[in-house]
Order: sequence, then structure tokens, then C-alpha cells
Amino acid sequence: MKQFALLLIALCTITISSCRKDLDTKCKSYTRVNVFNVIGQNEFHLDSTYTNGAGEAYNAYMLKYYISHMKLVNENGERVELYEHELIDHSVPTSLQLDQVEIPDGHYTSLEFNLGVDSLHNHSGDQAGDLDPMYGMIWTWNTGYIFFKHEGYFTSSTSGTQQPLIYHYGTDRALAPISLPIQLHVEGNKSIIQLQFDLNKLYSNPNTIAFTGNNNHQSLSAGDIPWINELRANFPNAFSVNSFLFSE
Amino acid sequence: MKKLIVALLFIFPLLFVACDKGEDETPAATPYNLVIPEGLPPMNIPSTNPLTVEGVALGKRLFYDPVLSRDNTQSCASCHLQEYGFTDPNQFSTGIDGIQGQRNAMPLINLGWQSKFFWDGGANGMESQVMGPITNPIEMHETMANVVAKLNANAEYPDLFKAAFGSSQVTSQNIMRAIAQFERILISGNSKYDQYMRGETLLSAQELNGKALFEDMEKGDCSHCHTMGSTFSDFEFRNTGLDSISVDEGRYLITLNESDKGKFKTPSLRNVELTGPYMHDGRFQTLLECVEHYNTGFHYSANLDPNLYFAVKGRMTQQEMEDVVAFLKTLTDMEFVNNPEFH
Repeated sequence: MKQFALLLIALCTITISSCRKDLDTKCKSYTRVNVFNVIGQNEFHLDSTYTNGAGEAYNAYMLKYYISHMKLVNENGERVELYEHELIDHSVPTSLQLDQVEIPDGHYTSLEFNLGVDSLHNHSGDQAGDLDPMYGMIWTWNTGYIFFKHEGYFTSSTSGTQQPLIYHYGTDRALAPISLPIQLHVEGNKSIIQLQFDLNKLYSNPNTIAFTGNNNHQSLSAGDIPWINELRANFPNAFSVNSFLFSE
Repeated sequence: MKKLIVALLFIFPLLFVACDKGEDETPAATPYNLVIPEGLPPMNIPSTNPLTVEGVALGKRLFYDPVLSRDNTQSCASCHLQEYGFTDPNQFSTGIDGIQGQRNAMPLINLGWQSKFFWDGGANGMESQVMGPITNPIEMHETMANVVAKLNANAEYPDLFKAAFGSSQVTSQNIMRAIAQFERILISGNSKYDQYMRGETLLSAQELNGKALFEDMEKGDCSHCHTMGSTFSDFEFRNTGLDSISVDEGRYLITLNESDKGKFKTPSLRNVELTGPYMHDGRFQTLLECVEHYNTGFHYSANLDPNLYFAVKGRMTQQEMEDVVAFLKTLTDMEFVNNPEFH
């Protein structure tokens, strides 16, 4: 009888442990991406005043954007997708810290992602997760996601007055594929990838975006297309990345 | 010791249950038996949003609930009235802030056969369409986030969402899906025309003549776009020559293609007797005015639909136009406008 009880106890233990797979992390590698919005070397803050490449003082009370299909690429060109769609909302600190994911051991040489939502997901609001229309990142009269939203104020270079800035960037043509070099070698390690987004670089490199007379864009008119093209060319230069192994 | 064993025997199955990923046990929603009237094609329903009894009932409740508007005063039904084929008898509807738009509310009839919504096709799919009127500042002027919060805080809705979708957490996705389910059941297929086509009734001589003119490419030439037989629309976007220069650029606003300037979706003609005023801007009060427009009134422009470009002005007599109108009135389906399932 005693033996039967012990057997049951053993079985219970096995049952418990089989519920919690992968507790042994020694032979597995993990990474996570932390996003930092910055202005040059400094952390970006909502409502702080900055100066863009055109010399205009500006701020943002809202800064949100989608990154999609973020992948690590190893030296053989093999890709592992880390995240499908992630909404980065500067006012929501948890949105800047992406979940830890398991990755194969290897030597990774680049980080790829899109700024924006891919065309397969861009034309329906019937979606959950970070694509939930509840987040207000969708045009409801012309179904499509707002890839990047900066709302704030700036000082007009002609009138010297403070004026609203509304930049809602999107549509399929606006999707910006980005590839950044990285040196990440993992063999059973935990690692962190720091992705930096420099808002000032978005407005200056290589195209200088002046806000004066150019402060209200919804992306949906023909007149928005040159502005979309300029920003799309700037987005890859606004991001930079570094990574390090994480010691517990 | 015996007690320990008995206790373990109890704990053991519990452990298995705990391992079994813990969705709580909600009975699956009941499939909705959608009856497609004879003569109408099968409906394409997205596999992600099958019709269920609970989903349709929830959608109907949301459709009639002013909670969807910011100040809780207007529901979908405020501008989509069943007695008028789920449209607004006013030229322009008035939103919660007292502001009027520039387009006539669209009737909600046989939407399940359409793939693009609004006059300009700006919404891709019935589910996505739902967000439009809720968030439009000149309509219900609400945010999806607020609607989700209001419904989650409601005493009854979480249970209704659970019955329909298996989760009591109200989400914008399930709001859209529920309303789309209800809109898909708004089927009209028992007009005098349908009964005639099924051999159940006869059309008058005038109605029959109107039907012939409707199809005659040298006369009415209506059926080119208002496809004969079932949906009475090809659901394409066409410039029907309402103006030589379009104030409202219509489909162009969505596609930015020059050739789409002044194009609007071909509306279905089902229940057209009840859905006036007519055209995207509600400029015509009567069906005769509409027929006159296609007979003589249309304007030439770069994007004028080719069918009209080649049509001879004044090709129908007054009597013939009246016969076409008589035929159009055979598309009135009183069973649809009185169907208790819809209100």
C-alpha cells in the first residue's frame, strides 16, 4: 500500500513537471528586444521641446508606431522571426519592452523589420492583439493602419507662433523595410537587443522635413505622397541597434 | 494511509485538469441557420466569423443600442431604419453633434454579397465597416476604445459576448463581428419580382414592359450595372454623370486613381421604392427623377461610365420611363421591412 502511495506521489510529480516544460534553459538561447525612443544621445520624452533639422522647435504629446516581422538573420542568411506586429506607444512603457523569445543558437548578423503593417494585414480592422482597432491606429473610413503617429506642436518658422503638428503615416506604399547590422553570437545565452529610434533623425536624414506649412498629413491624399516618400527614405536611418549577452 | 491515497486519487485528476490549458467551459455558440431565398446565390461568409444564434442576437442588440455613440444618444438604427430598407429618409443624416454629412445613408439589404462598403468602398469587409459610423466625428463620434470600455462595464454585455464568442472580455474585434453577423441576415428575397420569378405570382403588363426596358440595352440599359436576377448590383464603382465636375470625388478618395474621380458604388435596387432619396448625395426624391437622369439628364465627363457615354439621350419615352419605375416597385419586399427578426 505504501508503495502504491509513493507511486502516486511520483506520478503527480511527473505530471507537474510535464506541465512546466523547458525549465532547463542551459541549452537554449533567448532574446528580447527593448525599444528606446531617443533624440540624439538622450532619451526622448513626451512634451519636451526639441529642435528638428530645419531648426524648428517641436514636441510630441503622442508618439506611436508599428514594427512588424522583426527577424534575426544569421550568417547563412537564415531568418528567425521574433515578433509579428508590435505597437510601440511611448506613453505605454510595457509596449517598449517586447517579450522574450527562444532563438536557435548561432551567429546573427542583421536585424530585419518593417516600419508599418504588411499589406496582408493592412486592410482589415477585424484583428486582435496589437492590431486591435481600439488602439486608434487605423483609418476607419478607408481601412488601413496608421503606421506611425506623431501629434504635437511646433513653432512656425514664418509666423513664430505655435501650431499643431499631425503626422499620420501609412498606406501600403509607406511600408519601410529596414535592415540593421548586428553582431549577436548565442550558444545557450540570454541576450538583449536594444533598438533605438531617433525621432530627430527621422526628420533629417537624408531628407530634411520642415514642419512649417507641412504640418498636417493623413497619408490618404495624393498631396501626401511626396511626404510619404521622404519619410520612408528616412525611416531606416532613424533606427539603430546594439545587442549584448545577458548575465543573470 | 488509506486517507492519503484517497486524497491523492482526488488530487491526481485535478492535476490533469490543471495541465489541460485552462479555458473555462463555455458551450459553443449555436450555428445560425441562414436561409438563402431561392434565386439568390450562396453567401460568402468569412470562416473567421461564422453566423451563430448568439452572435446574431448580440449584433442585433448592439445595432439598436445607442451605447455605441459617444453621448449614448444614437444607435446604428437611428439612421438605418428598417421601414425604409434600413436607410434614412432624410437626404443627409444628422450625427450626435448636430452635424450633417455629404452623403446619403446607404440601405442595409443583402450586404452579405458585397465585399466593399460605403459609397466609395473605403471599408474592406463588413467587419471593418462597423468602425466607420462609430468613429466618424459627424456620426456617432465615439472611439472603439470607449465602446469596448463601456460594454465591458455593462451589466449584461459581457455574458452576451461570452455566449457568442466564448469570452466575456468585450473586444473591438468581437463587436465588429457581432454587428456584421446581424447585418448578414438582413436578406430580402421575397418581393413581387422574386415571387414572379418563382412562378408564384404574375406581373402586370406595365411591370413586364418595365422589366423588358430595364434589360433592353437600347432603352433602359439598367441591368448592365444593376445586375438582373438577384443582387441588382454589380457592386462596382461607376461615374454615372451626375455632374461634369464631381464635388465629391468618391472612389478616388480611396484609390487616388484619376479614373476613379466621381465614381460611387452601384447600390442594389432591392426595396428601392422605400430607400429614397437617391444617389450618393440624395439629390433625387423620386424614382422617376432617377430614370430621367439616365435617360436624358446625365453629364459628360472624362470618367463617365462607357455604358452611358454611348447611350442615346432621350431614348425612352415618358411612358417607358414610368414603366421602368413600375418594374422597380416590384422589388419592394414588405416581408423584409416587417421582419420581426430584424428588430
